[in-house]
Amino acid sequence: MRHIPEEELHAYLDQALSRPQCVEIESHLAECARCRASRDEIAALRDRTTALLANLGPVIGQAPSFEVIRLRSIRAGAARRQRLSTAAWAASIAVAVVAGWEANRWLAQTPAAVESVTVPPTQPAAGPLVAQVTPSSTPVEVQRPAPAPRRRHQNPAPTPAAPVSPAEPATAEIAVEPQMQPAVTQLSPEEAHGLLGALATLPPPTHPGWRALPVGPADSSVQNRMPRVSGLPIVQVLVQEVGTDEEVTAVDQQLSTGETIRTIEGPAAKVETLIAQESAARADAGTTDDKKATLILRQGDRITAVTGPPDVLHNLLSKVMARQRR
Amino acid sequence: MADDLESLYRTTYASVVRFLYRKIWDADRAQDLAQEVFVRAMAHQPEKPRAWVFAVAANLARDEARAAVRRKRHLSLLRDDPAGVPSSEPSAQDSVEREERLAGIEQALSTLTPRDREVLLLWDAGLSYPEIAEQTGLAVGAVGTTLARARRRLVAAYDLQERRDHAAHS
Repeated sequence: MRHIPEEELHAYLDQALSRPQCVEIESHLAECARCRASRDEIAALRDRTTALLANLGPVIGQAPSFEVIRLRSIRAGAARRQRLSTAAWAASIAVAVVAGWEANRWLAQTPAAVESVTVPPTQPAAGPLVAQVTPSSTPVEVQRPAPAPRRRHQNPAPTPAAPVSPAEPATAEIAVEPQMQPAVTQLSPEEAHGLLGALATLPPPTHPGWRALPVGPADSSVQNRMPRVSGLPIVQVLVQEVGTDEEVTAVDQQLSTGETIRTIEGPAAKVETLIAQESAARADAGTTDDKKATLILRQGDRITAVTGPPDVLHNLLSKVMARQRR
Repeated sequence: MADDLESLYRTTYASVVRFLYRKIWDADRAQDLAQEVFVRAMAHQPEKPRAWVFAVAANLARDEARAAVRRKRHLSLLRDDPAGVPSSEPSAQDSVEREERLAGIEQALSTLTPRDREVLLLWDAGLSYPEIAEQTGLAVGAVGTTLARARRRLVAAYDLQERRDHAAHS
């Protein structure tokens, strides 16, 4: 009588055999004590191996939120597109603003009282400005270009690197990769919904790590340094220390519709983490009615993220696309 | 498709981290690489995502396993070195024993041939025989043979080491 080879017993125990093969083995086992003993021995060996290997490996509580993967994926995608400018990505746009870009030129044409975004002055960073809309639940992302941020109207503090006269005409030069389609017109409802994935409610002032700054007319000098959307009342300002000498600032402001728009400014990695965490928190809470989109201005290693009603951001992007067609 | 990938991520992330860890022996780096694997999967949208994920993980581990690993392990040894006050005094003995056991398993695993080790780790990560066959280039029928050998050798190498340690201690 042919006994069952060892490797077949392994495959049998690993459930890697077809049904007929299993039947054949089982009928043999029923009448062969030697093969039964062999099977038991292999089963023990198999368990022993599994137990030994189980010791080897870091204890992972829970996988980080999938938003972490999405965010990394966006960053990787942006880097890839910078290397391969010909890479067409369906339902995405990349807008490269060569020079003279000003946030308020976009936002001036969005609804309500949104007039400009104030980005705290930082050192000039190199690289093109890239705006992208992705079809999954990811933030709208804009990478800030070389010129130092310019500030106007409500916030006339001088910016040494690039002083700009408020009367300067509309001279923004916008170069768009030719094969890119305007994403705004391509978004399906599901995709548009996916856009809303990032960011929800601001952590309450008692949230660990955050401290609230007093906000009032007397603090206008402080407010002028706040990352914010100009011309809107500030609801609250929160600050969180990062490391030894860095901090993240979150500013909540009210739109005329009563909705809030929030601006977070800080080191890129930290801001991205915050956005991912809050997005995950929203997903956990199952919140769907509080729809928000996020615009990310990346400048060097810092990010300013503006979160608000998606129509504001969509409007803004469609204006940009309209401009490039002229 | 993206949803498929997300649920795959939920179910296999830990396996991918362990799979990577057993190749590069750096927990933080294993997690980082595991995330990188899924980031790449987002871009590629592979047809057989589970097998693809482990294939890419194996490649990343191979790239990683050159210079960086030794350097990092060295660093982590230095970091673990009780230069300061040992904070976990009561469990120090347990911890030492655990470390010894882990080192023993790691050592036993290192005695396997690369192919046997790969097949064993892939199986342990949850891949099926056909998936393992596809990734390693073995015939499906040879997976069982390889696993049989790998399991025997791992346990034998570990037991041999244990006996030596006991002899050395007594």
